[in-house]
Amino acid sequence: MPVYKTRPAAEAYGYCVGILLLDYQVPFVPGDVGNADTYDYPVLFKVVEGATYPRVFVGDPELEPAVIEAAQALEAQGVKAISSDCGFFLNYQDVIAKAVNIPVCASSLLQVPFVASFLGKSKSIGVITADSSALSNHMIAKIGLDNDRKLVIKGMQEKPCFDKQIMKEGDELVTEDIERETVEVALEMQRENPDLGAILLECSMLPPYSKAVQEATDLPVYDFITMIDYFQRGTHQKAYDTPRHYY
Amino acid sequence: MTTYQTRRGAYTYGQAVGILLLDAKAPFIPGDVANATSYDYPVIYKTVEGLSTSVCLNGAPEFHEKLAAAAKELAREGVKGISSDCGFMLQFQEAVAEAVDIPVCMSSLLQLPFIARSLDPSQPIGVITADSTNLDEGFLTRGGIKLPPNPLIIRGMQDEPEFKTAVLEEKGTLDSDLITAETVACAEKLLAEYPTMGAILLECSMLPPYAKAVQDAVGLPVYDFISAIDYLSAGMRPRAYTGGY
Repeated sequence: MPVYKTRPAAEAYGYCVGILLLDYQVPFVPGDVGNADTYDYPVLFKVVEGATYPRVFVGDPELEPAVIEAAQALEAQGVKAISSDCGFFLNYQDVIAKAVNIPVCASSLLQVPFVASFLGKSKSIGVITADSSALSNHMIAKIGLDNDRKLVIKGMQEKPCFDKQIMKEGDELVTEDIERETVEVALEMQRENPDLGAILLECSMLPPYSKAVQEATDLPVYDFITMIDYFQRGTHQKAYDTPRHYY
Repeated sequence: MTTYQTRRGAYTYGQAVGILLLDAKAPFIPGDVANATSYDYPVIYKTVEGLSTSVCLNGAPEFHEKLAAAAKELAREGVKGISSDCGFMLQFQEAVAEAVDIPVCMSSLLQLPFIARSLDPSQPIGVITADSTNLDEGFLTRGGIKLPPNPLIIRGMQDEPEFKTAVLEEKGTLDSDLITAETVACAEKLLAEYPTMGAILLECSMLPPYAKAVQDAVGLPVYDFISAIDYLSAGMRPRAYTGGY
């Protein structure tokens, strides 16, 4: 007979992944990391106070205590893994992983070496990020990609709709606009790099457009959601309850 | 209007992943890499003749070309990614990835650096493999894996009576209750010896059916061959989101 213990900090139970959020307000459409309906399982969100994206982009060390506190609060509520809604939380990956006892995948960029390992040596891997000018060499080193693998980075910051609706926190988001701009960037990347083997979308607001990017480029496309799904899977193993005779 | 082209060499369409199989005969139960019901998407299999379990586990460089050719055939049939049913096929990762233009994940072991990145470097990772006498850090490095800073604790199933006779010796039957008990005992022993362990990776393609039992017993993240194949296929099968906002 299973015996369950009260988790003192928990308001409710059964949340699978805890997601740290930027202090940032725009419409999070279906497919966005910050939209609960994106997932096939329950997630628990927590805004990190003071975590504006310019601070997270540079990895402001003064934000560390608030990030750790939010991650530990999620862990205390019983989530099985922790993620975030900004690839630039890579700046805090190590301190969060040290502060909690559950898996932490704070940034979509952690997938880059894993995806690269699927590709032949001559293939490059492309990253489409919210702002390529903010992706510093220091951060690129943190990704941990082998030096001999070609990494191509392109940003969305100069696309007018992405800039107005997302970077400048507009009140409206038109998915057709962002989809068109994301596909444009992906196709340009593929044109300039015929050796491109896969694309990773860094930004947590881009997964709604992964399908369009995949269809336009015919390349494998990974994003924040493919990573969160992976860690959900590892922390929530499934029963194969197919009838026994299906073997 | 969408125009589709005939794929010369394909007799069926819509196969998501092509899986290269050892030349092995055992019951592949639900949850096994070589059981088609283990996936939420269609997969297609291709046996590599002559590549028996023991040949593969002991290292088989003479099979590089055969594996590359088999992968090319699967690619011609339209699969979107290539995998295998043995973690030791890591030794063919480079040969196959060079042979095709689609993503290739020949081994569950490719997950190790990714899993390690989600943990603190001080946390050990347990690896439960079919045969620990052939799996060491040298094998991983030769297979192109960048070893993580985390301690890797590798344990084998080769001396467990049911696993040994059913999987390695191919006796013709498999008792899944017995293998559940053997795998869970191995994981519990790992955790008892390394209480700060952060995750367990099941190397063997015949162990995913027991991943849930292992997780229920030790309460740790458990990764296996199916989690690798699910991830591989996710990149080529992006979702259409229809939820609310």
